Amino acid sequence: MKIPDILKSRVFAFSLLAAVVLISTPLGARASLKRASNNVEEGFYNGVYIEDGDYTSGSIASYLSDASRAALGLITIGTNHAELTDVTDRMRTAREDLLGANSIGDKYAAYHTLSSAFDSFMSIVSDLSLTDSEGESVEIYSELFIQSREAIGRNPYNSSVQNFITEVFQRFPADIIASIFSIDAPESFGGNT
Amino acid sequence: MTKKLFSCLLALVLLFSAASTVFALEPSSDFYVTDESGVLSRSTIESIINMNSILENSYDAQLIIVLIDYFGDVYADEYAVQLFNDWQISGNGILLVASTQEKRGGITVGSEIESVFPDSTKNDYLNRYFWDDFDAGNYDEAVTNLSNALFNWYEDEFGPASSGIDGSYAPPPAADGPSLGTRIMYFILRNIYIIVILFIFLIIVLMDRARYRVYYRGMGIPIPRYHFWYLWHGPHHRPRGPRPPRGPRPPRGGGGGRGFRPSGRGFGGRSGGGFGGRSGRSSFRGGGGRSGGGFGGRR
Repeated sequence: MKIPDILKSRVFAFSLLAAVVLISTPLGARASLKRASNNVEEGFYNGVYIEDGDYTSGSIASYLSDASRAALGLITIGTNHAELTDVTDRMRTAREDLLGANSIGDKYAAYHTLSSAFDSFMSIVSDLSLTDSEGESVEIYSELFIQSREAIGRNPYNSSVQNFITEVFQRFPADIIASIFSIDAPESFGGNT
Repeated sequence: MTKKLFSCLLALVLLFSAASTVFALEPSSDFYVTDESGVLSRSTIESIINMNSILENSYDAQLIIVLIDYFGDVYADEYAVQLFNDWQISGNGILLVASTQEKRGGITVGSEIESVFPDSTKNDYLNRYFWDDFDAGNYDEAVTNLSNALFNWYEDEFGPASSGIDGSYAPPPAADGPSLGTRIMYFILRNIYIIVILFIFLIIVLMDRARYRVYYRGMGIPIPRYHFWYLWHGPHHRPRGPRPPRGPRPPRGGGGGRGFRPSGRGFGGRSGGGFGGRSGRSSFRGGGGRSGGGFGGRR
């Protein structure tokens, strides 16, 4: 079969090259931006690498797991006291939600509720007369929860997300690529700012 | 009136009993095995007791097995943590609690070993050594396999155990895992795409070899040895050029003429071408007596 002359022309060759470049460049940029965004979100599960100190921080996910364990311990104590029934149910529900949450935003919402329920629990339990064993358990589990909460508050994950959004995501051409291909910025633990 | 009062009193007593029954489970006289469901054989129970003598002696740890009929409305993880704390199981201890009727339950561990035995590890051990047999009603096998695996975990984590009081317990070696046939099958399934590519390549090579042999057979000369790299370049891939024109007829008769002599080179005029072919040894601390709060299993 004879190849048409038009296909052998330089004009066609350059046009084809331009088309390939114009199509592949944004697709490649999209893949890169998505990959970079996912890498930032990985810091929530695996910790954030701190370049200055050459170490990786603890992950928020692991601290949430500690908080969940502490909540479970307190729940078992709360089931033995009628005064703690309501707040124990709240803690139980919040812990269930935390265990079942898939997105970082949902995890934050559940954690926020759990933290609030924990504070209510501690304010009520301080007025109750507990057995020595219960008292010791409350002390240990509450300490674990508070340590987890403090560690989450200090965690550099949200800073890394904010830096990425400011330095990369909201700048040209990432902002255009993100709007064209509907790429979401990484979720911070506490909502995007 | 008296009847009403009595009924109310009875209802209150029953209500209180129901509320407190859930966590009113007392350990058996053996302590290490509480088989409320009555599904374990005496030999399994004694094996667990012997194992615990070594665990207590070597690691100040306890492996507690609790089998009940129903959890009721209580989550298995809350039940386990409550039980662990109520029974004051050692901080290096492990508690397995499971419902034979509801087929749920799990493991909780003491606060001292929670960091090295996380929930993911608990679930892993249960899935590998416990649930299949437990769901099938093979309770002795389920408990024995899991307890042996957990004993081996203690040895891996804290070093070899010293023998127990009577030295009679000798845990079996770690499970051999799948059989040779199963391992081969797993290998094939994991690498199926490589095997398919290799198989297709083999077919192509065999077809090319057949073509190679036809080529030389057509030339009427002995067939040289075939090598697989001929797939990319070989004498049988080069298109045959047009036949060379016939040479002039040799003169008839006459004298002095020399007959046509063919050249010393072989037929064809082209050479064959070159060819080139799977714990941290944390310091051990005793005491604690409190569940770490973690739970692995079916809530």
